Amino acid sequence: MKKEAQKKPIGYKKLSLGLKNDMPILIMMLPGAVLILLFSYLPMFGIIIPFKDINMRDGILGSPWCGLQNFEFLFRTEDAWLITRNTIGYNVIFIIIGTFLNVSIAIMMSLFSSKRASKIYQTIIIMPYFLSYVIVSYLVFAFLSMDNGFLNKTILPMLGIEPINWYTVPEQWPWILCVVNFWKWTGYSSVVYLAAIAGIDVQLYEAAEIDGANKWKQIIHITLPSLKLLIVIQTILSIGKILNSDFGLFYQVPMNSGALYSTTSTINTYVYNKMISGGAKTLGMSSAAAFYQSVVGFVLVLLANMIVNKVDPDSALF
Amino acid sequence: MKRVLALFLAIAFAVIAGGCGNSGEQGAMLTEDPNEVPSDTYEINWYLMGTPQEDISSVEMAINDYLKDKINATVKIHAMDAAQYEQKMNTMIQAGEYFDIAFAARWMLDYFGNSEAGAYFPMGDYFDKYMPESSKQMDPDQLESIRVSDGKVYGLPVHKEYAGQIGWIYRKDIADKYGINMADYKTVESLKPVLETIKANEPDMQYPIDWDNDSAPRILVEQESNIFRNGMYSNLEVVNYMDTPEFKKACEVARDFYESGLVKKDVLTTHDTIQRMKEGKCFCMLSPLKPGKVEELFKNTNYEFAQQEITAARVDYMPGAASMQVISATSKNPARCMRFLELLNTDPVLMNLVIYGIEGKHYNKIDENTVQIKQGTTYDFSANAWAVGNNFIVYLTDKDDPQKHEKLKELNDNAERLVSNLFMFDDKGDNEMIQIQTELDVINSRYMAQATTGALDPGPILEQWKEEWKAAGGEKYIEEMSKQYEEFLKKYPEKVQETIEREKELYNIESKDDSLTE
Amino acid sequence: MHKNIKLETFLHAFFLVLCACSIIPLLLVISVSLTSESGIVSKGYTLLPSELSTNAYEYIFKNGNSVARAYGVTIINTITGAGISTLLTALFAYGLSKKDFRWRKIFTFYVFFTMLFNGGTVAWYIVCTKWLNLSNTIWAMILPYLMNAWNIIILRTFFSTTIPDGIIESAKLDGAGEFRIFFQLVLPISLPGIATIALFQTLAYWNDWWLPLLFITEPKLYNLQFILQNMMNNIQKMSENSNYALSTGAMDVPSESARMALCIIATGPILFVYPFFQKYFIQGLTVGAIKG
Repeated sequence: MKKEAQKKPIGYKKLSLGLKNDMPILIMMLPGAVLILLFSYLPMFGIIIPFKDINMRDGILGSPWCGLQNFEFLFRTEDAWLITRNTIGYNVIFIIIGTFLNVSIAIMMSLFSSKRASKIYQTIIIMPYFLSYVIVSYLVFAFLSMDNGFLNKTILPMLGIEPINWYTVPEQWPWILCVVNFWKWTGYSSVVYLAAIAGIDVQLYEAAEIDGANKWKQIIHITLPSLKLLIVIQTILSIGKILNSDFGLFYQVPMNSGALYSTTSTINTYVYNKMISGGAKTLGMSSAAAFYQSVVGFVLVLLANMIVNKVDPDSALF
Repeated sequence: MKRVLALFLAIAFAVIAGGCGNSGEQGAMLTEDPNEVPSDTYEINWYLMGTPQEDISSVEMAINDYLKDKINATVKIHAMDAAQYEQKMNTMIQAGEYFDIAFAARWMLDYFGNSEAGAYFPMGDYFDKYMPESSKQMDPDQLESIRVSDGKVYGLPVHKEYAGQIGWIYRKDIADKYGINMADYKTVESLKPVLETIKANEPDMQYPIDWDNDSAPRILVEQESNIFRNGMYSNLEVVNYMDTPEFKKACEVARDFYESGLVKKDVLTTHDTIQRMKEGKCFCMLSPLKPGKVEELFKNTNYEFAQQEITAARVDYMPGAASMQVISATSKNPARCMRFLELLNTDPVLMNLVIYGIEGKHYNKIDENTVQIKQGTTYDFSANAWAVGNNFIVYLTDKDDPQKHEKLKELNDNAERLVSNLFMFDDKGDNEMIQIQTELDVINSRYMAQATTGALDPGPILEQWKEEWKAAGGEKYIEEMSKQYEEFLKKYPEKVQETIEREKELYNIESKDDSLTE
Repeated sequence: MHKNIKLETFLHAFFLVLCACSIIPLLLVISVSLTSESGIVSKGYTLLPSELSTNAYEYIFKNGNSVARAYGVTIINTITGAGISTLLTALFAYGLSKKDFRWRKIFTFYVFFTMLFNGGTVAWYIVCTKWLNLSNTIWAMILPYLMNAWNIIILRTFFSTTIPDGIIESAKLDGAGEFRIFFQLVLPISLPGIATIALFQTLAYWNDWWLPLLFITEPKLYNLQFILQNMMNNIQKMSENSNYALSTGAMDVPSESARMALCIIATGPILFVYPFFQKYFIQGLTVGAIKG
């Protein structure tokens, strides 16, 4: 990125010339740019909603400002802490275990001498990635249903354990959600890493082999260092999104069951549940939660990037 | 630096662009003369709660033809099932999205809260001008009960019965087979042996009774004892309903049935009670009843259903707030909407078009007031007529009791009226109180199904519920409400005396607070 | 390269287990969809049908008028959505990848910022419904997903690393315009990258239930996933005219297996898509997902 900095930025005088040269490209980009403006930038006016005492008569702009009242109300509830804890907790587990799983599976897959075997396995383990969360919630239901579920009717009786009414026991859900998450994403994410491994220069391995390095040493000294960049980027991005959650996972899979909220509700599902059940009066609180999520997430990603910049400038995002 | 600048510009732009609030055109439209056919056509976007019907477009066309010479309006009906309706409409209201007319109630789309927040149009101010007949056919108590704290009325109650009873809906053939007389079973727990017999002998009925949140055993408590539905009052004293022994008992009964395998295991997460009844998988369910309820719910089924009331009839708490039509504050022409509602509630032709569809196509007329719905019809909204408009001008079907309307009126006239029916808590615009109330609603709705359906052990749930309820300021709320209720009761000394007398007689309980009666 | 037998055996064993874990849930649902209602009542959901029956599928074909329509909606959304989206993303990413494009940095930031910050669902909903009037239109299920920052960045990286500058320069010297260069030169050599984005978007549109949940109330516009979601609580939703179609008899309605059968019907096509894309997918990700 640094090289093209030599090119002069658009100056006042050069503007017309620049426009003429760049016109075809600008035209190409126009539809996309407009769509991004409409669907990503216009909604940013939403950041003012939590600071307003919304009443529908005057609309959003016309309603009086109310300072931080909505935030006060939000953080006074136990929900605020609960959803923050859940969101961050799940994400930390997902990032740590997820990265480990993805990288190790990708490396193992790269070890196959037969490309066909690796391709077939790949095709199968990536399958869950293609299912929507609605379908996933049915699959999970097929296992967990109280009346007919595979666990309650087949597995647990074999082990001599009493049936469990899964959808009512919040303690069970942290691991259920983790399993579902890894089941759905590991195949895909490991393919991303596999792709990165495939991009490593084969000559490096050949040279190592001649030097007598075994597979394990090759992994430690060639594969992992080559993946470092990707791992760091993925982790920064994940930390930036640490207050976001996979809405489908937390909304569809537990079937939005109120009994499970203590371990399944995240900021995203909280905001959505307020939106669909509260009417005009909950808008302040739900938008306060959304604002909190967006701003803190923004700060987090800047921070993460700054730290990376200090430690290893080449790996930084910007 | 440039990036930061660009960022601020982008946000500023978004804020400015986003800021276009509501326009104040409504005032101008309210000059429309109610007796003239306007020259401009207006499309009314009407949101209804009920199962969407396949042939809605031809019915809309028929309605539009009919309205042309009357109020020159067209309608676009958006019908949705309850769960979807609630989600969608709440989202629309929060976003200030445009719509014209919608169904609302005390329990749906937070009529009071949203009215205060200005989401609805204060149609009460224009009753005399645009809706003279439809507003006058109401019981005055009904309109009084939906007056919001700012003194205005924002909705038109659906003209129908406003009293109710609780009772059983059950399979008559099965009851006959086993010689069961449902009138003998006044409590849920007393039915247990019967259900056990059925479970043992009817292989199709693995779970002979079924309920979900709205039909769990607790609804009987709400009707039978002196505790009211929104969970906060007793008749003369404000208590936390969820903390009463009666409520606890109902939860325990539900749990007992659940553990005995009399109700389906997925009771907390699935809501298909009526469907299971229709499919013949259950013997009975508990339900709020009115004359003709069974015929409304179970049309064209293979089985014979019947209903049996087991409680006395009572006028609903807030008798007008159970089912209403409201006009949105975002409506571009509230006058036309009001004229439409007036027509809907007074003109049988229009009302029955909405309910039964087109004569000859969706139903046949047997006599002046009776219809026969065609087999396999593609339009029949009658199961949700109670959420649309004047029920007394809806035709009866050949399966209905010919006296249904008279019976409904009788029910209204004879049901007992409780003094607390008209009491409404006033948050007085205090933001903290509003917040507490909102939080309590959230907490209550979160725990209600968990505690009352039996899927979970109610003991710990009730504990947890109470704890959260307290943390959210429940006690403060009850305290404030007690104060207001006391004030309220002072306005009706005779009624209070009456209530005390009746309670002594009915429930053999000591009158709780004589000082109130002076 | 010599084969390491021990290692290979371990790897095969490991991946066989992994594959089993991946597909067992789906097998379970397939099995349930092929089990008779009475089989389910007595044995529950089992990995092999306890009583084989195709009742559920027959039932869907007979009564699923809305299922057929939803299929149509899903297909239309997927084809137009993924098609337009891939084209616009490619056009946009191409601009970002051109080193001599002066607005490049500004536009890169313009895209990147949307990944970091958003205005919340409510505001987004207001934009879609109040200003763009998308409610109850097919566009509500297409437009919002068209441009995705992540896809743009992947494709930009792909372009800037795979397209040799020389080709474009020489084409320019031959007098070719930007559009011709893009469509005749860039697109053909970027097939893996394009295919990757196309696959992402096909999935996004095929699997979407979120947009109809927010914007669609017209049953004619429901898509497959949305119908499935509604059916989770109630099989009734399958047929619009529920009052009549379903009340036929106790065990005649395979409500348990029919839901699962519909899952299979809704999932089938998308599972067959992947092998076609696989050839390009790895290659596309190889170049695209790594930062440029």
